[in-house]
Amino acid sequence: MAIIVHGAGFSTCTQRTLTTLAELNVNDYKLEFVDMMKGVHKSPEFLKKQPFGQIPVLEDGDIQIFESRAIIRYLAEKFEGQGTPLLGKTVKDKALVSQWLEVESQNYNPPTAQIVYQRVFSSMFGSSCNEDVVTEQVAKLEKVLDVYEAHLSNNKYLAGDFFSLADLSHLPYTYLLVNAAGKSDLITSRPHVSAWWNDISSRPTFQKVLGMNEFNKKE
Amino acid sequence: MDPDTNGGDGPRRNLFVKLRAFGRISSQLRWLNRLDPSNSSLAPQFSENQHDTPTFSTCSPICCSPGWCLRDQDPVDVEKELKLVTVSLKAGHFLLPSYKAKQPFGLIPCLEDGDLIVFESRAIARYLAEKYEGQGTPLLGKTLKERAIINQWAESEAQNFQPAIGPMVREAFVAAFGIRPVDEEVVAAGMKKLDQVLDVYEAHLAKGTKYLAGDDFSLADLFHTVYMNWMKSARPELLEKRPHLSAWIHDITTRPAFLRCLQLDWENASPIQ
Repeated sequence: MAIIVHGAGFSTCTQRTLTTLAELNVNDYKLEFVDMMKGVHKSPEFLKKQPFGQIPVLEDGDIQIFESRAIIRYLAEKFEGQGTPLLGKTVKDKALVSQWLEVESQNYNPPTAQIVYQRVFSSMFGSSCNEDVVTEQVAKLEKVLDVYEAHLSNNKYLAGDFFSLADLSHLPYTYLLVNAAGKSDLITSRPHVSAWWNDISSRPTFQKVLGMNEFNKKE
Repeated sequence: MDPDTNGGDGPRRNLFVKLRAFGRISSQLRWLNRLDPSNSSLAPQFSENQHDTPTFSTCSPICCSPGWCLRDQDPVDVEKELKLVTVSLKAGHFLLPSYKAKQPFGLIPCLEDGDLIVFESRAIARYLAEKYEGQGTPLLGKTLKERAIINQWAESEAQNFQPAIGPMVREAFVAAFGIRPVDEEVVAAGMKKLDQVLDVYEAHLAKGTKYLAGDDFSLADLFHTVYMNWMKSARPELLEKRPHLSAWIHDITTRPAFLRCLQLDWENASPIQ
C-alpha cells in the first residue's frame, strides 16, 4: 500500500518529510494537499489525524504518524538499507545523528523559525514583521552558528563524514532564511557553514522537493 | 572500551552535568513543589553579572531523563556504572574549555561512554534506550509501528509541551532565586498554550491507553515526567477537569526509577576539572 503525506509542498516540515523520502529512493507516495489558507488543518476531520492541527501527517497502511522529525525517523528506520544511510551505520553514528537532530530541534530551529516566520510568513497570516523579534532571534542564532562553524571545520557533516537526517532536518528552514528572509549573511559569513550549506542544499533530492512548492509552480 | 558493543562490563559512564542546574533542578523541583523558598541552603548565589543561563530554559528539566533512563533499565547497576560529575553554574564551569570540548554549546547534561560523548538530553536518553534494548523497560517499543508512535509523542513533548511550560518553569526559578520578579506575561502566555496542549493530551489519554503511545511506558512518557512533576504541584489547577491526564501524571511521576533518580547523590559528585 502506498504512503500518503498530508501536507503542502511549500511547508517546511512537509519538505523535511519529502526530502527524506527522496533520499531513501521512495517514490511511491502521494502528497495530499492540506489547504491551510482554507483552515483545513483545523477541521474536525483533520484534527482526528493530527490533534494539534499541524502538518504533515504520514499514513503508511495502518500506521499514522505526525511530527516531521518522528516521521523522518520512522522512514529512515523502515527503509534502512536502501538509498542514503541517513542514520549512519554504527551505534556511535546513530547517537551523533540523534544528538545533532536534537541540536537542530532545540537550538537551531527556534530562532530560525521565528526569523523566517516574521520575515516570510507573517504577512501571509494577516500579521506584519516584527523587526525587534528578528533582531533578538538573529543574535541567538549567531551564537549557535558560531558553534556550527567550529564543528564543521573538523567535520564535513554534522554527525561526521556522512550526510544524515541531522543535516537534512536543517534544509527547509535554512533555505528560507537564506533565500526569502534576507539573512543569507548568517551563513555566507561563516566559511565552513557556507560550504556545508552549499553541499547539502544542492543535493538533487532537495532540489526536487523545492520544485514541489505550490508557489513556485508555473502555470 | 568500544561503545559499539552492548554489554554489562562496559566502561564507567560519566554523566557530566551542572550541580547547580541538574542536581539543583531535581532538588529545586522538589523544593518548588514544597513552595518553600526559605529552605534555600542549597540555593546558588547568583551574582549581578549572571551569565546567560540557557540551561534553565530548554534542557534542564529533562536532565533527569538520562540518569532516570539508565535506572529504568534495571540490570544496569547505576551506582557502579554511572559516575556523576558536576558542572557548577555559579563557578561558570559550563564555560570551561574542558567542558566546552565535550559540549560546545555549554549546556548540560552531557554523557561520556568510553570514547563517545553525547549531548542533548533527549538524544542521550535515546542512545541509552537503544544501547540497552532488550534489558529492563522496552522504552522504544518492540515493533517499528510502536516505535513510530513513541517517537511521535516524544516529538510532541519537544515541540508542543516543552515550549509552553519551559518559560514558566524558568520564571519560577529566576524569581525564586531573587534574580528578578516573575514576568506575568510570560506565565500567562505559557498557561494559555498549556491549556490547549493539555486538552489534546486529555482527549488522547481518554481514548483508553494507559500511556501516550499505548499500554506500555515508553520514552515518550519519560520525556514528559520531570516537567509534569513540577506542574502537578506548581499548577494543580491544570489537572482539574482532566482526569485521564491526572492519572497518567500520577503514574509516571511515582515510578520507582524516577523517584530513585531524584535521590541521586550530586552533593558528593566530583566537579569537572
